Amino acid sequence: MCDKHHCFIIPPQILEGLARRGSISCKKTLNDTHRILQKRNTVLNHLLLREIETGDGNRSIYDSQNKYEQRVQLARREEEEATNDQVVNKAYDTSGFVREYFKSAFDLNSVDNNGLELISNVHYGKDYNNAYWDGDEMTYGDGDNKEFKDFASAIDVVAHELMHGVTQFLANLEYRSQSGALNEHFSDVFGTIVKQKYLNQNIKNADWLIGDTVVTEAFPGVAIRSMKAPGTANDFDTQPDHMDNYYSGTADNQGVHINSGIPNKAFYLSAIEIGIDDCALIWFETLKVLWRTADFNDMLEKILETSERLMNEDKVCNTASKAVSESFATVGLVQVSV
Amino acid sequence: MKYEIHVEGGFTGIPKKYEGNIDISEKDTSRLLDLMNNPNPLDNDIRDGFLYHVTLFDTEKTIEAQFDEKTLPPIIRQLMTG
Repeated sequence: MCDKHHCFIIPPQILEGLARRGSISCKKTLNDTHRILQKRNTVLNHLLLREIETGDGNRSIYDSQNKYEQRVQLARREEEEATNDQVVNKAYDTSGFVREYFKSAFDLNSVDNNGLELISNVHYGKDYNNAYWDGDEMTYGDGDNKEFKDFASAIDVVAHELMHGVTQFLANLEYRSQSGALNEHFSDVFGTIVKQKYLNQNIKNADWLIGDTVVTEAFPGVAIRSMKAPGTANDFDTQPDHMDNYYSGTADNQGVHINSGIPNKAFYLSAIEIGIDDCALIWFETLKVLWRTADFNDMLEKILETSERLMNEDKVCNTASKAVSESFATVGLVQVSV
Repeated sequence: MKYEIHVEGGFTGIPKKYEGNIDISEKDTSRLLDLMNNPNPLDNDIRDGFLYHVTLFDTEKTIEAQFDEKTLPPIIRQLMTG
């Protein structure tokens, strides 16, 4: 089958159908095919062939020097002494903490499980109010210090962005509509988990906020998002916490940062019931069996299968499946029996 | 020439709008229109990047284009950063 310049032995829709039925190899082929096509285009564009080698997940922090460019000035590499720039040092420390969390919790070697170098760009642009993952590396603005500040210093922001890398390599969830909202959801989930670990919080005293340290006092709200109460973090927060209020517009890649509130609330409810570590394992193992176009119903189906499997293997508590099922039902997602 | 820039997405997910008049030379106007008419393809790998929906209101027509963090021309970024 040929689609423009892309040729496949097995059509993608067949791979997707088999992935839905639980074929890990088909899921991997589907994800890899898409990624390889994208990488191939990049490689051809740059006339550069990169060999894939196993790395150590070493950190490199670059200073963009307020330009809208990446890798302007190398500021600190793995095992080098701290610099005089505290933003550089914070980006170094937080990305290291995230890397160690995924290593200790899931034996993941960097975001791609192949030791991908963790490259961070700080001081990107002028008064730049954002942080993003671009498929290879992270980029952080300083914020305008009127409403936003210190994106690179926020542990949940750094974990959120690095989790986009993990998702890219494990499931490559397409960044639009429900698959995109799931992509955002997984980043918020592990942003929250890593934040609680970093701050030595527990589920009782955690604030369940995302981005509370990147907003200033002048910002009309306490954070960017709330896992506990989606839609309440600030005056602009339109996240729903139930499928009844699902956003069906076209903005924000069809609501990737909006509808993520629905599974986010389900995660919070599950964590309250069975604890954050069991949830972390269930969510991580679920991500491994999702695929590029997976939607909310696919997520529900796979997370319940995963919960059952982990319960049978005595890796999570024996109420996990019930707790997860009830949490998703509370936000309006119930499994349809065939 | 009037412009509108709608910024959406980003880690914060909070949309923002910029509008105003462009006061640039005829040569720069021509370059800008060329960039608007031939935008580079969006980068599908970016997560949490801003999306920039740009509209220029020329005397005779309206021109729209969409850019991301990797494809946004500096001349358009300058309209937002001053």
